[in-house]
Formats: sequence, C-alpha cells, structure tokens
Amino acid sequence: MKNITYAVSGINSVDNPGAGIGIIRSIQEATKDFTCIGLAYDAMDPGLYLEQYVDRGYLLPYPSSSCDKYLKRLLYICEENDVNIIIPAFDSELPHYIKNKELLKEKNILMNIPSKKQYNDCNKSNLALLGEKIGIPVPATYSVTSLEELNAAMENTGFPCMIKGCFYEAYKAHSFHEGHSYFHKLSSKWGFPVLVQQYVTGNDYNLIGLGGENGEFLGAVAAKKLLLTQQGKIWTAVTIDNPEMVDICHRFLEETKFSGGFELEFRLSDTEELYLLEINPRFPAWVYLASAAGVNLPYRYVQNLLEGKTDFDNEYAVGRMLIRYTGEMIKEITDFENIVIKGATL
Amino acid sequence: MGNRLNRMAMNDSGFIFDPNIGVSYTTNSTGLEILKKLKETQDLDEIKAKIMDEFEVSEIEAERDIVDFMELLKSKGIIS
Repeated sequence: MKNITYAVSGINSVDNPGAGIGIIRSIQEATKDFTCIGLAYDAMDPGLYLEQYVDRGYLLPYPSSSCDKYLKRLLYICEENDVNIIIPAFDSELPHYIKNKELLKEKNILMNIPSKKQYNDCNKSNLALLGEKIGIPVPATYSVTSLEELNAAMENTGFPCMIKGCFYEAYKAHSFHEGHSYFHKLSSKWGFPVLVQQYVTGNDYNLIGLGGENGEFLGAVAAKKLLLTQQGKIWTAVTIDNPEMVDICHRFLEETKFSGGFELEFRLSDTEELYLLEINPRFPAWVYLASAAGVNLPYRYVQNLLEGKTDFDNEYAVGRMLIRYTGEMIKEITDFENIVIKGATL
Repeated sequence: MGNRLNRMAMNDSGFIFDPNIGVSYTTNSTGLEILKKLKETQDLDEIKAKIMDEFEVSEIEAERDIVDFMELLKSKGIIS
C-alpha cells in the first residue's frame, strides 16, 4: 500500500483531546509510506504544528456550518492532496460525512463510518433500547429539552445524577440547583436534548472497537480507566482481558452491523453488575493504547478499506498502560499566520 | 465476574494484578504466600503449616494473620 494519502480530524491534542494524533501515530508505526493530512477546526489546534505527525494541516469550517460549505472546503482539501481515505474523529462532524459518503466514494475517497441509522442507534437518548437488544443494562436515561422535563427527570433519578450534553461533556449533579446550572451550560454549548442519567457507583471501563463495512468484527481492546480528567476523560489507563466486555462488543456489532471505529463506555457497579453508559461512534482519544498493545485499529481501518481485509486476530498485551502527559512546543508567529491567512500549513 | 483469585497475576515483589478488571494491589511477603497457597488449596491447616514453616511464627500468630488476611480478601471480593 504505497502512496496513500489519508486525512484525519480530531488533531486537537489538548486537555480534552480528539483521537487524531493517536490515529496518526498508530498508522505511522505500521507504515511510513502514507501521507497524512490533518483536518482542524481551530488555528491553535496543536496537531497543525506537530510536523512529525501531520504532513500538511488544514482548517475546516466548524461542524455546525452548512453541509454545502463544509463539503466544499473538504473537497478542495481532498483534491489538492489526492486524499484516498478520511478518518473522521468527532461525533459532531459525522453527519456531514454520513450524508456525503457516496459522493466522496465516487471521487475515490473512502471512509469506514456508520450509517445514519447506526449513528442514531448509538445516540445517548436511544441507548436504553440498544442496551436491551444486546443484553446489557443502561442506567435510566431521560432526554430533556426544558426545565420542567429536567426537574421531572431528576426526581426520577434522584441525586446524584449525571447531566450530559447531547454530543460531549457530562457533570455529576447533587441538587436541582446544580442540575439547572449544568442544563444551561450544556444546552448553550451543545444544543438539545440534554440527557439526565441515573448515577451508578463503581469503576469505569472502556472498550475500543472497529466494525467493517457490514459490521464485521475487526478488533477490540478493553481498558480500565485509572486516572480521569475533570470531564471524565482517560488520562491514564491499562489494558485488561475481559471476555464479558468483548462479548458485548460482538453482540453490538451483530445487532447494529456498525461500520467504523467506536468506543463502548462501561461502569462496573459496586455489586459487580456491568452497565453500558455510552457508545461513541468514532475512535476515542486513547486509540494508541490499543495499537501499542497489539491491535492497531487505525491501520486495520485502512487495510479493510483498501484490501477488504477482515480476518484479524485479537491478541493483545494485557497490563499495558497509557500515561498521558502535557508538553510544550515552540513555534514562530509566522506558522500561526499561515494557518490564519491561508487556512493551511505550508 | 467469578472467583477472582485464580486469574490474579502475582509477582514476587508483592504486586498483584487482576487482568479482568484492571485492579492492582500490593501485599507483603506473608500476604503473597497466603495468596499463592490459597490458589492451590482451601485447607486452612495446610496454609497455616506453610506460613509457620516459611516465617517461623507460632500457630496462633499464623492463624490470626491468615484469618485477618482472608477477611480483607473477602471484603475486596477476591475470594468468596
């Protein structure tokens, strides 16, 4: 597989990072022959300046832009760089890619992404139904769009409860007052609905997986979250061998035929009952841990698209740790200028 | 999640890792011997004999340590 150019988003390697840099690192470790185009939404996304990972970076209009505007810019970038593959890494941008998958395919730009139905099935407000179909409990979740509904939902869940944005972010509320505050914060940032979820005490686990075009199992790795950011994102994690979680992953793929990278978020309650908390329809930021443990899902994504390969093993190292850290790089203002003025790195 | 003791990875340093749920513990040499022996047998007399022999302690001391440690293991769900 020579002379392949792939574009990847989620290169905002900040305190709440996207998966982009982990995806690129994984592919780079499998092959040096690919060219990487980084897709960013902010001129200060660190990935734009990480030349060791991103060969050329571009700014895209925000996902909230019109589909036409988004597509026009994306096609310009793809045509200028002969992009063969796109790996979207944000939930919020997926609707644009889902809508234009066939159009991009006609231009020989391939993606392994969920269908609109699969994307909706993973939606936080539809999770209980999906959980029932694949046989795993989901904490009671209420989709609310008004203070009246919010109050009713919090009365049902009791306190503490989780208040979640429709795309990202979640907060633990201990009172009606706190719940109201998070409701306003999340709705103004991510829109409606806001989700109110029963709080289950226990430990958090995540599973990263990849489904082929027809939901074939292309690999999965489970990990325990050891250290979290304030937003509940993984800062330190360790790979585990948990057949129950992998089995749920298989049932998820069988039921939905999900295509693309995904993350299942679990909580093991204090009474050792496993709950499904969320499904994210894209690779998570800790994707590199799976690759470092032996299951390189970003590279499998490419292999599956280009070669149709589906027969991958799922052997990985258990007890392998990911430890995130902060670092700084120094750049010139002219580097920033290029991105602001031209919308691209040199 | 079943009996957790059998799947525990134990290092001679006293570091113990449960690969199924990603939880780790540390213990001293006495705890480690008790755990290793518990993997082989549920016979308390056998475990007691091993601890008395290994650490040159009295039967009363060995029994007290084993019972206390087993209570701790139960409280953490490692044995039932």
